[in-house]
Amino acid sequence: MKTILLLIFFTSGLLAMTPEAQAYVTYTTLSQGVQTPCSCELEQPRKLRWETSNLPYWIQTAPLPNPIAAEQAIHQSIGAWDAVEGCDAPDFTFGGVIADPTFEGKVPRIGYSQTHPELNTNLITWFSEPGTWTDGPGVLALTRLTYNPCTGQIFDADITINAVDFDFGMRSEPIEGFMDVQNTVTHEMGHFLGLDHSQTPDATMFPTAPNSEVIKRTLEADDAEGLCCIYGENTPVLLPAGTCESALGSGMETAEPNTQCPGNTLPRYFAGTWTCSSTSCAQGWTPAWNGVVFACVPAECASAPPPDSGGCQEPGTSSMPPLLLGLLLLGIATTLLRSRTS
Amino acid sequence: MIRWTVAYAFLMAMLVAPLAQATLVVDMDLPTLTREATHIVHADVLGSHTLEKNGQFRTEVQLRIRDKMKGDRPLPKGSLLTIELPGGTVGELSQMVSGTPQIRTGDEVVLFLWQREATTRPRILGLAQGAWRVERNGDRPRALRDRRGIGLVNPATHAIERHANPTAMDQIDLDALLEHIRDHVATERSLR
Repeated sequence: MKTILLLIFFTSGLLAMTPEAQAYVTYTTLSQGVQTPCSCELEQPRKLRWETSNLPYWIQTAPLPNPIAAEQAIHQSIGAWDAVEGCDAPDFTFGGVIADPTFEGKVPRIGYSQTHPELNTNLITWFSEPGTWTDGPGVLALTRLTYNPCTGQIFDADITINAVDFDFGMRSEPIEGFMDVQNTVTHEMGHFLGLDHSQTPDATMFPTAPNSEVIKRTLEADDAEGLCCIYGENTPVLLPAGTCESALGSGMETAEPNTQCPGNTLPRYFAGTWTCSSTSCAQGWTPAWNGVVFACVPAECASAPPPDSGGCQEPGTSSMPPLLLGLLLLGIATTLLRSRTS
Repeated sequence: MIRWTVAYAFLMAMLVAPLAQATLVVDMDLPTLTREATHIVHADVLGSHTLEKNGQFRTEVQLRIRDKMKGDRPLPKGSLLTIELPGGTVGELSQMVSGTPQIRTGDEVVLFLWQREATTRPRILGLAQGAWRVERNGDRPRALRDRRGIGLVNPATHAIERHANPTAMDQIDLDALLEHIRDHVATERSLR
């Protein structure tokens, strides 16, 4: 009986101490796939993100049996990400349909070249002719990001989809046995914007996508939060005046800016970094961050040091702190010893 | 009671294990990897360098062969083989293709390779599925494979089954892995 009570005690302690669910994961300069070390020395990895407000994309759907429907599905996929409000994420602009995925019939437009900028289209393209898919058998879709390994700035993104080995459906309703285009592209656009796979099963960025599944056509809260983790929120919450305790709320800490911002912009702390933003607090108010929302609080409350994480979870990190894991293991060991002695 | 406690610990470990997957590929078991691979080698990684051509980055990895278990190409012990991985870094630009295994200079590896044409360099089959790294820290060498960065698609239905996706690194005794591979290669030959 004592043993059972101990187990309940440690389980409830674990559940109580586990941070609020936050399952999205962002790509960083240390994400997988880079074999050559960066020339710069970084103490912390940087998030991969676009540094532009206008993000053009092109589509090449010619190999598909119904290219117009495919194009429409892609626009709807991108519209889902464009509809996220409250973030400084770039707005997508349709560059056009490209009939030939090569430039002048010679060079593929996939990738990024400093010497051939005409190739640098953010392209969503299918491979359907036998022998044209070069990324190996069994690979469904890939997103290729080109970025600065020191700053994390993304310059180019291309999505390539394997229609040689897989069939894709373009109808509004799911088709048994077909991968859904809108579903697949909505998911891949998350990678395009700098998101890795989420740990939340309902999220669009969760890695599983059974064929004919369509729930990933729309975004869940976790996807939008991940996007805003990368690009920052632009709608500060104005908290009521009063004492600092009431203004800051439970657990709220203020943040000291560590950057000088030009013009009428203000420093903002988000996602572990300071940025300059035109979003401003009213006179007498100052930016603050509680790990969940960015807020304006009374200026006299701005004294505490900046928070560590800014609420963003880095790739490959568990949501469980090592100390908590240690306590859990200690609890199990104690339980084992007690059960033996009894 | 001890059994229940161990089961409890296992359950809690499953609940808190981090999951970070990055791309989707068809799940290939060892017999399938063996069948689909054009070459299977046990080798040491001598070095790598990244090239950029027409905007696409590819990293060439030089291997010194310890043993070749499959493939028409003559690759005796000590011979050199260059394979290719997508992505890499050139100067101030990096290119990332999700799901590509990490291979570093000095690693001892067992690789399932796929060569599209005789004129192209071999690539790793099934992205991270086809790359094992050998560790020789303990009494017996172990082979480790990190498939956490990929989502696995059921080869028959094309559905992606959540339970099939690993949350921890695969581990196997190196000698056992090599023996399994040789057995599958022998079976495949006998069926021809």
